[in-house]
Amino acid sequence: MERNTLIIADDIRINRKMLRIIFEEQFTILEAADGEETIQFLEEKADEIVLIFLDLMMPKKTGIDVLHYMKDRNLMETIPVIMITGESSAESDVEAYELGVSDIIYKPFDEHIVMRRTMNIIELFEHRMDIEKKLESRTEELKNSREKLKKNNEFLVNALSSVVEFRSSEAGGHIERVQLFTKLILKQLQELYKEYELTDEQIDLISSAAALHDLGKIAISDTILMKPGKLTASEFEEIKKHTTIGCELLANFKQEDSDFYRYCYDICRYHHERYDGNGYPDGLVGEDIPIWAQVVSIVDVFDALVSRRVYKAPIAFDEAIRMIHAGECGEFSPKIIDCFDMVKLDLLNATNNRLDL
Amino acid sequence: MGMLEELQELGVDTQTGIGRLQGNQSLYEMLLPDVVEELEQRNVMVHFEAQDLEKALSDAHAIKGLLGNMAITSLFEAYTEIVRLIRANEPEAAKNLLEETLPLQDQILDCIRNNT
Repeated sequence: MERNTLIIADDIRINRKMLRIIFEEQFTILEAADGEETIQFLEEKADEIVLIFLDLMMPKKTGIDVLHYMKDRNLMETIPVIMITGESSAESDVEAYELGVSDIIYKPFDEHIVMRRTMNIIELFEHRMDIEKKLESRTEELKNSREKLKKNNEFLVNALSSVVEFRSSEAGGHIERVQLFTKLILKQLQELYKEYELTDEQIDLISSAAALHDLGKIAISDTILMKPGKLTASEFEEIKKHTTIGCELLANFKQEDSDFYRYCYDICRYHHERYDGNGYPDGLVGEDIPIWAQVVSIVDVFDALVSRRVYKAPIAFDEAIRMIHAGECGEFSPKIIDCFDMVKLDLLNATNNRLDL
Repeated sequence: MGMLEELQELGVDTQTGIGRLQGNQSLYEMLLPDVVEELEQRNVMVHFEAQDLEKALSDAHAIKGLLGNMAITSLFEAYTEIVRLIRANEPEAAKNLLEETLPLQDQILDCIRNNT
């Protein structure tokens, strides 16, 4: 809808007429003899109005009433108002400016000056709205390209992690479940333990980074990785190296200021650490283990327990829960256990119904 | 004597009024009957007599605005003072001034009525 209509709101017909004569060649004119009529026009045709000349003292509703109406409906953002007033009163002028009028013109006015000031204000508003529209569309473009980039990143991360998954001969869906379970537990942490100050964006990044937790396994020999029986002590020492090897691989592409890099690195390195310090590779204790690595730890353990592996049959859900609580897979933080318990049912559903084991 | 000369003698600054309309004299003359109509509709004296000061103020203020725009200076100055007196809570003085002003107002309105 083209905006080409002026409202002239003044209870004196001759004043309306004088303004009409100035602008009627360029604009469609709507004349309002009081505040109520002005509001009526705004209700019916706000999209068409390019500017309002508004008298301060009018019957029924005053110019100030009209301004309040417009402000309440955010119309001052798109429709400039020029206040036409018989006299300057500092009080009413300040109120009018505070309510957002673009200009105040005092009667008697000069046609040239009214014309020039009006056109300037209209151009300014049109220009501003044009800029806002461009900004909006640019923001939308940026959002779309960010979204695309995010999808591409997810694709690459998943492709890379599926290579590891494939080599380890782990049953399908492990990576996908780790990502999902990580997200579920992080959401609980965000809700219950505000001290971690987790944002939605962080949760997305950490869940995505979780896919790479076993990246280092790519460098572990097939004989160890795919050994059906129990590992010897030296084989176990060898497989433990996947945590640090993963970090070495990532360090080749180090990104100093990237949160995503930091999550990937920490998760690769610390997802086998345990809260009591009995984990590896660094034997970190308690909250020295980054919270995102703590989450992936419990998720990784849980999924390994309930999944079939070359070296073991799947363990029943309830038994897996019991083992985690009993510390049979190492100790986890009470907060993490707490959140794990809160999402137990979701994990059960995902384990049974949604994701292939 | 033409209408504009006659109005000038009654204190109307017709040149300024026409100047405000980009020198368009016929437009100025076309707007003059509207002044008559507005002043007929807004009878401030009636409000004074009914002791309705709010209406007296609102109409005197409106009249003042249109007189200013049309450069009807002699009446504009009187109505400016009337508005000031009402606001200063001096309704009697305002009414007296209006009474003094009405003969001039009638002359100006008659001049316009007779010539348009």
